[in-house]
Amino acid sequence: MKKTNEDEAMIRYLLGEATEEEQTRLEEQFFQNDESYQQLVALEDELRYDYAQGGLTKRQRASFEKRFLVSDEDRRKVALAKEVIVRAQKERAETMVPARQERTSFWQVFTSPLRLSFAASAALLVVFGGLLTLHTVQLNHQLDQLRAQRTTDQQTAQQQVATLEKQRAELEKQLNSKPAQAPTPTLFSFVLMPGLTRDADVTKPLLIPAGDGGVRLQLDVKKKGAYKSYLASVQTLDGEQVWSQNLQSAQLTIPAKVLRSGDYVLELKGIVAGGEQESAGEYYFTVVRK
Amino acid sequence: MAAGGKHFIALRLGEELQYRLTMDGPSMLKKDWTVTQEAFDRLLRQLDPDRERAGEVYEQIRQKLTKFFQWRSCATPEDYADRTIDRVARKIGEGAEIHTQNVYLFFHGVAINVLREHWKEVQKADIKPLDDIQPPPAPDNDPETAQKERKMECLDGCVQRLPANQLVLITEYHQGEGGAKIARRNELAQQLGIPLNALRIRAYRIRGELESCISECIKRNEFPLTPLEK
Repeated sequence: MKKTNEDEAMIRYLLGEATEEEQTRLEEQFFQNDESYQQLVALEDELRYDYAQGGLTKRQRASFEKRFLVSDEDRRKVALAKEVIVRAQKERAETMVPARQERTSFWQVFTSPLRLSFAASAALLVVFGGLLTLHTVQLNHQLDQLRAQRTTDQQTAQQQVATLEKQRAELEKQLNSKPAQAPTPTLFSFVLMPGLTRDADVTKPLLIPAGDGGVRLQLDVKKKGAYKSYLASVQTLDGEQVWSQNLQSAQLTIPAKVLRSGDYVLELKGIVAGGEQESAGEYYFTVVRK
Repeated sequence: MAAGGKHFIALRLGEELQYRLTMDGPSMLKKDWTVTQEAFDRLLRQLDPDRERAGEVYEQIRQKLTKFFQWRSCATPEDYADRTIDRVARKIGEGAEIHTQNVYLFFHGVAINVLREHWKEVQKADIKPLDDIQPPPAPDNDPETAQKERKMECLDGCVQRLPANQLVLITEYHQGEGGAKIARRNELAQQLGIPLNALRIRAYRIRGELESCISECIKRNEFPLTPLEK
């Protein structure tokens, strides 16, 4: 499911990417309509949280940085947004343990006030009791759906981890077997420096000869020693992911065959002791295949 | 605009509207007219015959104008909002009637003109608009370690105080990436039986309350927080 056209227009407006016509239309709308105004204000805040979580497209991130990441206060707000979500997710994970559930289960949270209401209402008017029961059943159904959704998400995450592990094992197998099959050197090493924005003058193309070798990249990480492991993901500038892998160090080897001539961005996420992920750097590079 | 570059802001005290003078904005905002008490009263009457309600409408308009100039990349949006209100007050003071169906559109029209003047001023003064300013480099580390620790304490405390249903909503709302995140938000709205717009506002309010809680906690130096029973 996609965002509505109106949502997309509002995002373009907030990021300064809307046409003059669109700007005027949205402004007339929010000047006259409080609901539209509230939506824009909420969406502006939501963009900050999405940005903090590493979301938004490359272009949107660049526009966001120009518009909403100008002052130190802006940076503090983004940092806080990131912390808020991380802490909330951690807190929610902790609420799943049995001891915590005994104290405050979702069932109690969603139904206690209703049950009280039911008892009181039933004593007074039996007919309302039926309605409340129906409402409780609906809430129960919603709760079941949320639980089912969570289970599905966990399963999906496990499947993704398993798939990544399988891919990693296959790639390692391929890389290990290559020297025996091909006597000529097929590994090409490069050092990448981090950068928030892509700069054509700075980015040196990686010249990779034709063949199925590996491209070894040594990543310069600002916060050295801060992470116990990493998750690297290589994407085209259109956002298509071509490769990803869990890493023990900021060094990786990408199969050359997945890299065609073009521009890429490597997103490196650092995994801290608590298992949380945070952005450890973005590395832009251009590949030229000979 | 009052003499000496002062500006009126309507404040409601009891049942009477009173006016407070505050310092003006940057000197580059040239003021060519002074808002008189009479002009300001006429402006309020145009907004609503009921004085108290007029004060509320005034505040709403000022809030929207400020956001308008902020979203249009003006560095001092509040100053330009006030300037727009001055301009409208002057027109009304000179006898103009607001013929637009909606008074808000009148303010928007004037605001567009003020914005155009702002762009000209920026060009003349060779001031970079916000879009041309590169973000400052992130600080290498936070020297205020104690303050940072306090912030973390407050953050933990405030998150723990969050009612469970709000905690579930906010974490579900911000889970996933890209298309999956959007799909999840749509599903969540369906499960809760509310439109996506309403869900967005709900999530925004929860985040706002959390941030306010953290901010107030830091100001009060109140930590560690005792988690409340949910």
